[in-house]
This record gives sequence, C-alpha cells and structure tokens, in this order.
Amino acid sequence: MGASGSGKTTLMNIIGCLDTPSSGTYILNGRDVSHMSDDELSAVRNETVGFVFQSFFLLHYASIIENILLPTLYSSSRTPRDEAKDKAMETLREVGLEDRADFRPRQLSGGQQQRAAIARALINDPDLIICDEPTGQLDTTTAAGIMKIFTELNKKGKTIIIVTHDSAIAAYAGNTVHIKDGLTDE
Amino acid sequence: MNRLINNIRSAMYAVVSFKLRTFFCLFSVSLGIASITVIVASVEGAYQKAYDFVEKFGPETVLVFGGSEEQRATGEKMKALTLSDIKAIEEAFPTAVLVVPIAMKGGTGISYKDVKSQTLIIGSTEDYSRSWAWPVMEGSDLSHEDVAFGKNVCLIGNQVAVTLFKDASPIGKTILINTKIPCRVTGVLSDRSASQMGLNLNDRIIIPIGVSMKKLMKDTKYISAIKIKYQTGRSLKHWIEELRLFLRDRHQLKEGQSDDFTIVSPEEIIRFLAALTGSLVVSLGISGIVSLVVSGFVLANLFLLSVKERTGEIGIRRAVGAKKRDIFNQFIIESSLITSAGGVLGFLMGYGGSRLLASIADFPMHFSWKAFVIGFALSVVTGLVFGAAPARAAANLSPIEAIR
Repeated sequence: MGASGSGKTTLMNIIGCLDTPSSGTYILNGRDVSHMSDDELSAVRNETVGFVFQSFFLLHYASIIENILLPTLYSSSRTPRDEAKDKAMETLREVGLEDRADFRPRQLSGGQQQRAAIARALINDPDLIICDEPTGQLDTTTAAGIMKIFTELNKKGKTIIIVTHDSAIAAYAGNTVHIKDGLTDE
Repeated sequence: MNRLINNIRSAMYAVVSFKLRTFFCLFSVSLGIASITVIVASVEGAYQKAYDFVEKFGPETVLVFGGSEEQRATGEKMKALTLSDIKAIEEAFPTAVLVVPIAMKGGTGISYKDVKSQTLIIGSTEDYSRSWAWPVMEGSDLSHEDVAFGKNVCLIGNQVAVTLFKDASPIGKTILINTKIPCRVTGVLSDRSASQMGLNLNDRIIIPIGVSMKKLMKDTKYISAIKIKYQTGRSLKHWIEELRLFLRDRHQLKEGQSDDFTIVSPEEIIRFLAALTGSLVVSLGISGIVSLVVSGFVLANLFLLSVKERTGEIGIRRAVGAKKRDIFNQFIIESSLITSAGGVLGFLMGYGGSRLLASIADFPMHFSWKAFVIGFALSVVTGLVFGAAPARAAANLSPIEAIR
C-alpha cells in the first residue's frame, strides 16, 4: 500500500521482472534475476509471473480465448496449440467465463474483462501473480467478486501481490507492506 | 521455430484486424508493383520481338541496300547495287552460301479476274525463300529454270492469296501484275504473322528477277538489295567488314567518300530495337521505382502510427514474455505479408493493364515467371526495408513505459 509516487510501481516492476534494481539483488525462486539480460527476463516473466493491470490490457481485436493464449505464444515449451486451447478453456472456467471464449473484449463488462485478464495471467501456471490496482476501474460489488477469485487462488498456493492505495482491498491480504517515499515499513 | 510460427500467427491476426492500414499499404504497394511488372514485361516483349525478327531475318545473313544510311533516311532512292555485284560477290566469297538479288516495287497493281489489289512486287531468285528461312506452304517454290529462262511465274504471300482467291486454291491460276504481266502462281509462302514496323510481311509477290527488271521496272542494271547468307562459323562482324571493303573497291569509292550502300545485320536490328525501347524503359523504370519507394514511405508511416497506437499491445506482449525479437518479427512479418500480397495484386493489375495497352497500341508485351518473380521479390524487399524501422521502434519500446 502507498500513495501515488511512493515507489509502489517501481517495486512492482522489479518484483515482476520488468525492470532490474539499480543496486541490491533480487532472488526469485532461488535464481538471481537482478543482472539478467532482457531476453532472460522475458523468459522468467513468461514462466513464473502473471500480470493483472488496472486497465486490463486485452487486445481489442482478438477474441477472449486468443487473449488468454497470448502468454503461450512466447513459451519455450512446445505445447501443441490444441492442448494450450484446452488449458485456456480450463482457466476460463476457473474465472467463470467459459461461455465468453469467442467474444471480443469490448463486448464484455469491466468485471468480465478483468476476469479474462486473470485467466491470461494463470495460463502458464505462474508462481507469482502481480496485480496493479486490479479493481481501480470497477465498482465495489464487482471488485469484491474479483477479490474472491484472488482469495481462492491464494488458497490454492499462488503467491499474489496486489498493489493498491485502497485499504478495503488491502484488507483481503494476509500480509500488507506500506511504502512511503521509496521506503517500506511493516 | 514454434515461436516464429506464433509470431507469424500474431502478424496474420493483426493484418486481418487492422483493415484500413492493410488496405492503404496494399493499394500503394500494388500500384508500384504493377508499373514494374509492366516494365519488365515490355522489356521482355521487346527482346522477344527482336529475337523473333532475327530468327526470321536469319542469324547468319546480312542485307545490303543501295544508298548510304543518310540517303535511305531521307527516302532518296539510290541506284548503286547491280547484278554484276552479285556475280562478283559470289566469286570473291566462297563462304557466302546464298547471294540473292532483290528488286522491289511497292504499290503495284495486281488482279485476278475482277478482284483488284495492290502489293509489293519482289524480283528475286529461286533462293529467295531459303535466304529468308521462309518455307512455301502450298504448291512449289520457284525453280532454277523459272528464274534462268525468265518464266512468268510467281510465289505469293499469304495475304495476297486471301485477298485475290479467298478460300480457293491459287496454285496454277494466273494473276495479272501491273495490268499486263500475267504470272502463274506456283506456290504460297507460309504465314509470317508478325508484322514488322507496320509492314505486313504476308503482303507480297515474288517473281523471277529477270521478269521484274525487264517488264516491270524497266531497269536492267540496278537492283534494290542483296541478301547474303554465310556459312556458320566465323563471326558475322568479320564478314560484314570484308564485304564493305570489297563493295567500296568495286564501286570505286575514294577515301573519305561515304559508302553508297548500307549493310544491315541482325545485331544491328537488335541494337535498333534496344535503342527504341531503351528510352521508354528508362522513363517507365524511374517512375516505377519512384512509385514503389513512395509506397514504401506510405507503409513506414502507417506502421509507425500503428506502433504508437498499439503501445499497450506491445507492452502486454512484452510483459507476458515476448522478447524484443518476437515483437520485431511480428511487425516485420506484418509489413512483408501486406507487401507480398500487394505484389501479387500488383502483378495481376499490371497484367490486366498491359493486356489493355497491347490491345490499344501494338506494343510488344511478354509475361513470364520472370516478371512475376521480379515483382514479387521487389514487394517482399519493400516490406522488409520499409517495415524495419517501425518494427525496430516497436521492439525497443520499454515494457514499463508501454503498460503505464
């Protein structure tokens, strides 16, 4: 938790392997990722990190199922496309969107779009899911639905990091870190 | 490989989805390729025509006209070649297999019963058809006796046969040349469909040289031209130079005086045709290249705009694991897919356009796989060259900035 400009996003970028720290080391799953090349970081993101953003970032010209398959396009494992599609349908079921596979993002409500984005984050079985203000564009009821999905995923063993400035959202978390002027205090 | 296939899949998806961008790029590239296709086809057409001509002219033969090049250009008739030149050439050059005199008179009236027409009358020998590699398709060729005794016989061109006899066989029939010279038709020359320089080759009559000179031209000394066929082997250039010096000597030309004859060889015909098409090719070529380059800039511009518009897409692709190379590949494949489709479309447009051009004006066009391959290769290159900068811009976008 923290106000805007506090350094939340920078920390999130480093944890999500989108950026490397200027000093210090970051060990993820036992691997030092702080000095990795751009290509290596890409591979780590693909395998171990799932992202959920405030503004969803779904490709508007592609169907929901195509959007969910996006991370599989960049996997080093040679999963056949049919198998990947089955997997995508399975994750869609997990977020309750199995009947929306062939819709375009714009045909869906905000909550549905965010659930599709969660399915996309899950498809490569990441250990870590990073959410940047995941409920920022949603009303409270919808937000509660999204948070319920995260709670269940957490129970199944996924590490979920939520960046927010909303204390109601922070209340779902088992562990809260406050950031102020780039410094954490627990 | 799997990854590249996925890049291609992503690119195809985008090409189909961003329809307006695809349409404009496709259209501008296809126009450029269409003009280049037409240029390649016309160059090939011109050369095809030149080679056809040489084939008919005979690759080992030369044609000597009376009069210098300048005099011929002004249309001035020059009396310079004589029958005695023929004899002298035959004696001096044993390698000249055929030395055939030609005495021409154009626009001569001919008739059969009440059908009248006009045509070109050529006085020559029994070797005429052989020296032009022009077989007789019906009846028989002129014989040695026909020429030696100056018999009133003739070979007629295909066009003459159709004009005077329609479907009936002309063999053995007697036609009247210049209202008073009756000639019995011994044979019909085969069809030489291609017209050269607006001249229908099928519109002519061949009669023994003696008959034409005495009865038609009333000139027993001078002839219009000499056709010479050499043995294969030595270069034609060599023969031409020897022949030129020989004729200058015979015609007692002093040093500094220009030739009173012109030697035309197949190489010269090709050079003439090449010069004729050359300027056309240069101007068309420049405009074709310019339009292709312009289409390249249109493409680069639209793609740069597209990269800006799709910043979010690039960001999320990078976030879920796309490497710079994946993004670069996707965008360069998008641009080359569009340009290669433009290449195919442009070829079809060029093909259609030049068929139209060929039907309006007698313009030689020759379409082959070569025209297609050149057009297609250029279109792919256009996509790769002009798509590279936008693709690099897309690949170098920072994912952190892109998903902000």
